[in-house]
Amino acid sequence: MRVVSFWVSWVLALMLSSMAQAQCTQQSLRISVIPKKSMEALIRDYQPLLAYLSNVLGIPAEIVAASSYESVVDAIVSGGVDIAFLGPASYLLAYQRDPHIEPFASLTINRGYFTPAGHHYQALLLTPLEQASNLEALRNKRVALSDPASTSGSMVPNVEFSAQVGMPLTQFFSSVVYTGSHDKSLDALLEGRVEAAFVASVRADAYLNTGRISASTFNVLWRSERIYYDPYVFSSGLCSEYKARIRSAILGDPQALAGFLTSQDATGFTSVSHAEYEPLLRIMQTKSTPSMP
Amino acid sequence: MLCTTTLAFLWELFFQQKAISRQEALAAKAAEHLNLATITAESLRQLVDRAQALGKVIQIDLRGQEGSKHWSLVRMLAEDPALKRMALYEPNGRMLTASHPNEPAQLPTDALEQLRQHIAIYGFKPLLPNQSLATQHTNQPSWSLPFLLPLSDSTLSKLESILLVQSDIGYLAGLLQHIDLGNSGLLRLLDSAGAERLRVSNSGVVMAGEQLSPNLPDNSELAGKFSQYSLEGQYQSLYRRLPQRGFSVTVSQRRDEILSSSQHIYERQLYLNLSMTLLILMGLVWIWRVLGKRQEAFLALEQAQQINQQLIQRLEEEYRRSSHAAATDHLSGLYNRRQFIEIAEATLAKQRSKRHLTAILFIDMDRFKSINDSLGHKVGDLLLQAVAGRITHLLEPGDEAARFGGDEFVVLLAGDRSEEQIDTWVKTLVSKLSAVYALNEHELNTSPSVGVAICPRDGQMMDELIRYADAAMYSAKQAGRGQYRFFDSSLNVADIEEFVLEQAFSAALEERQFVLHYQPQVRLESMQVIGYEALIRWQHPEFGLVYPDRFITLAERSGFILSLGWEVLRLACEEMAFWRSQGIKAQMAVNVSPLQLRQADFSDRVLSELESYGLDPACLELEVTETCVLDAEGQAIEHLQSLRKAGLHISLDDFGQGYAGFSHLQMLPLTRLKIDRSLITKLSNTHNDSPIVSSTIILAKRLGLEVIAEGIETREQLVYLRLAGCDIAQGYYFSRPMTADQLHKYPPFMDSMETTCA
Repeated sequence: MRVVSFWVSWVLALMLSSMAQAQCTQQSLRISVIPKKSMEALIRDYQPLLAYLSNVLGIPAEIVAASSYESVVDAIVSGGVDIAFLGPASYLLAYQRDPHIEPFASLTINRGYFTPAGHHYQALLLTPLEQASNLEALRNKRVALSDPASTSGSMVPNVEFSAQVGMPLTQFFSSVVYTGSHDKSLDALLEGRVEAAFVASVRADAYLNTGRISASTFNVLWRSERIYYDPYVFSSGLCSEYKARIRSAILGDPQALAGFLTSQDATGFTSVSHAEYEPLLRIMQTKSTPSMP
Repeated sequence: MLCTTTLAFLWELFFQQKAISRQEALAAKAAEHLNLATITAESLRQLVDRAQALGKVIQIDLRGQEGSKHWSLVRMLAEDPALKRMALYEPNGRMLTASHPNEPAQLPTDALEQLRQHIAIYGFKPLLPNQSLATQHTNQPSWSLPFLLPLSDSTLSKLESILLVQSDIGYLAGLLQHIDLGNSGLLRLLDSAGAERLRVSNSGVVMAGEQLSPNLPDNSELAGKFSQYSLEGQYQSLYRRLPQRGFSVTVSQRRDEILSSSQHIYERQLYLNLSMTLLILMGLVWIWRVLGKRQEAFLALEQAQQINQQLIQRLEEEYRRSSHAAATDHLSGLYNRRQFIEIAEATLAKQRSKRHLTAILFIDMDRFKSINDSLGHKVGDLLLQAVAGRITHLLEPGDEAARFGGDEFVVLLAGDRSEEQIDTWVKTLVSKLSAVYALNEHELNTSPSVGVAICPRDGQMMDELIRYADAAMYSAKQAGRGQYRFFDSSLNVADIEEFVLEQAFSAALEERQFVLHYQPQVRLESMQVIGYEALIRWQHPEFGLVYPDRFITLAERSGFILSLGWEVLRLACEEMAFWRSQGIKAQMAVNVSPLQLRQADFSDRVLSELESYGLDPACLELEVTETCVLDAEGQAIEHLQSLRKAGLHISLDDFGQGYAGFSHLQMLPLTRLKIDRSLITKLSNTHNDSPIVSSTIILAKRLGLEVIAEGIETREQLVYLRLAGCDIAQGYYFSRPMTADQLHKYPPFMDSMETTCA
C-alpha cells in the first residue's frame, strides 16, 4: 500500500512540476540515515534535528526511510536525498560513485565501556561469556554481520579480521548472516541465534547504557583499528548556500541540538572532511576477500 | 504372559502414537511453510509487476531526459523501500539512460537471450535473470536483486525497451524479519537455473550458509514438498515456483527441529515407559525368585525328610540284619526262637493243608541250673551242645528243632505221624536225653521234662501251641524228672493238677492265697536299688508255692486273669502304703495282662485304686508286653497314654522276643524298655559283644527311653550292659525275688529312705 501511494504521488509530481535544478530552489530538505538501528527509532531520534534545520532553512525538512545502507548510498549519489548520515565505509562507497559528495560533520561521541571518547570507534567481535574465551573456539560457528555496506558490521571485519586469521570470514565461520543492523546482530547474539557478532562499539555501549546487556555479558575477542566516526554528507546537488547555512547551524550552536545529541550518545558536532576517511579508503581498495553467493 | 502382553501393548501404543504425531507435526509445518513460500513469492511477483506497470510511464520520463538528472525519479527511488535503481536499455542491450550512475552500459548477451526465451513462452513479463547484473563498486556482496522488465510497444507485439530494476535485499529481508522461521528455518529465493540468490534465516540474510542438496525437483509442479540434506541433517523443504517470473521460493526447516517439541513429549513418555517396563520386569523377577526360594525350601524340606527316612530305614535294616545274623543259636547250632517260629509257622501251614498231625515239644533239662552252677558254664554249654546233638540225631526230614534260651529246647515233628507214633518218638527222646553224658571227664546224669502240644487237637497257631507245650512241660516237670506230658490232658495218663488249680482260683482269691515277691531293680550308674518288680506267687495249701508260669496261662484261658490282675494291683498298693508308712519311696513295677488293658475302665480303676491308698502315681510302673498294644484297636494305647499323663511309668516288657520294630514304639507313651531275659542270657554264653543288645540300647536311647535289663546272672553280663549304656538291671546277680518279710530285712530296702519315685 505504501509502495503504491509513493508511486502515485511520484507520478503526480512528475506531471505537475518541472525538474528543479536551480540554485536553492528546492522546496524541502531530505535526509536519509543508514539503518544502524530500527528505522522507527531513527526517525524518532531525528525529529529535533529536522525541526532545527527546517527552522534554519525556512523549508520543510523530512527524513527518508531506508531499507539498507546501499539504498542510502544510492540516494545520496543520485541526489535522491540532500543530506545522508553515512557510515565511514558507506560514505566511501558513495564517494567512489560520486566524488562530489561532501562530508561536513561528525558526532563527538561519549566515552563508553566499549568506545573511547572522541571521534573514533571500533568494530568488535563479541561472543557470550560462556560461549568462548578465545578466537579459535569460534571457528566454524555462526557469526552475524549487520549490512554489507556497514563499516564495523561488515567492511572492516571482512578486511582486517580476514587478514588476521588468514582466510575469508565465510571460511573461518560456518555461516555468515547479515542481520541488516547492529541492533539486530546484538539481538541475534543475545537470543543465541548466532555465536558471535561483529558490531560497532557505539552500539554495544548503547545496549549497555540502556541496560539490555551488562559489562560481563560478552567477551570482546577482537577489536579493529580505530575508525573515524560516521560523517554527515552533503549530496553534490545541494546548493552551496544551504550547505553553508546547515554547516554553521550544526557546528556553530551545539547547545541547540542537545536533546538530539543525547539520543545519539554524543556530546557535540565536529567538522570533518574527506581526509579523515582517506586511510579507510586505502584499506578498502588494497585488500580484498569476500564474495557474494 | 500377562506381563508380556501388557509390555507389548504399551510399546506398540507408544511407537504408534509417536509415528502419528511425527507425521502430524511434519504435515502441519509443511502447510505453514508452503503458505509462507506462496505469500513471499506472490508479494515479490506483485512488486515486480507493479514496477513493470509503472515502468511504461517511467520510460517516457527517462527517454525524454537522456543524460540529465531525473530528480523526481531519484527522489522517488530514494523514498521507495523496495526499489533502488533503474536503468533503461534498448532491445539489443545498450543502455539508454539510468537513474543512478554506474549502471552497466551493456546488458550481457546471456541475460538478453534468457529474456528473449522468457518472452517467447510467457509474454512480456518481468524476469529474474540468472546473473547479478550489478556493477560491483567494491568487493562487498551485492545488496540488490535485479529484475528485467520487458516493455512492449503499444501493439503489445514488439519489445521496445528493457527496464532493469534493482530491488533492495534489505527490503526483502525486512519483510520477513518478524516471521519466526525457527532456529534452522531458511527461506531461499532461487532463480530459474536453480541457483540460490537469497537466503534469509531468523537472524537475517545468510551468506555462505550450508549447501542444501538436492536442488529443487526438475518437474513442472508449481508447489510441493521434498527433502534436502546438509551437514547438519535432513531438512523438510516446501517450494512455490513462479516460472513466469523466473524464480522460486523455498522454505526449509530441519526435521529434528520440527519434531523437537513432540520429541520432547515422547522422550518423557519413553522414560515413563522404560520405568514401567523396568518395574514390571523387576516385579516378575521378584515373584520368580520368591517362587524359586519357596521351591528351594520345599526341596530342602523334602531332602531332609528323605535323609531322615533313610536314617530310620538304615537303623531298622541294621537292627533286622543283626537280628537275622543271630537267627541261629551259635551254641547249639539249632534255630533260635525267632527263626524257629518263622520256619515252624510255614511248616505248620503245610502240615495243616496236608491234614497231618504236627507236634510241638517243649523240652527243659532237669537240674541244668545246678549243673551249671556247680560245674561251671563250660560244662553247662557242653551239656547243652550234647543235648542239641542228640535231639538233632533223632529228627527226621521235615522236623525242626530250636533252642529257646537257657536249657529250653523246642522240637516240631512234621511228617505223617499218628498220635501213637508221636508218643513213641517222645518216649525215645526222653530215654535218649536221659542217657549218661560224658563231658570233659565229667559223667553227667540228667533228664528232660517234655511237654507236647498237637495241632490241630490243641490249637491252630504256633504261639499257642508253644505255650501249651510249655504248659505241658511244666506239668511234666511237676510230675517228676524225666517225664513227658501231653497238653491235652486226655492224652496224659495222670495229670489233674491244672484242673485242680483252675477250680481253686476263686477260692484262692477269696482266701488271699496270692502273694507278691519282690525283685530289686538297680540303677547301674549309682548301683542303688531304685525299685522292685512285684512277682505273683500262689501259696497253694496243697501244692506249695506255685509259680506264675503254671497258672497265668490257665488264668488267661479262664478269664480269671482280670480278677487276678486287680488282686496284684491291690497287693502292690497295700505294700506301697506300708512302704510309705515306713518313709520309703521306692518304685513298684507291676505286670499287666493284655486282657486287662482291653477293659474300658482300666485306667480309671488304676488311678482310683492309687488314690484310695493315697499313693503317688509316679511310684507305680506298669509293665506291658508287645501283644498288649499290637492287637488292640487303640484302646490299650489310650489307657497307657492317660496313665502316663497321670504320672505313671510304663515299661515295655520282654522287648526283643517279638516283632515290634522301633518305629512302632514311637506311638507308645513308654518310659522304659525292658530287654527280654533271653537276650541277656546270651551274654553269659558268649564273650563276644551282642549286637542286638547294644543296638537295642542305642535305639531305645534315641527314642528317649530308659533301658532296663532283666535276668542278670553274672558279673560279665553286668559289665557288658553297663558299658553298652543300660540304665537299670534286675536279676539273680543282685537278688532273687523276696517275700515281703525278706524284703523288709533287705539292707538296700532299709537304706532307701532317700530314694524317690522319679
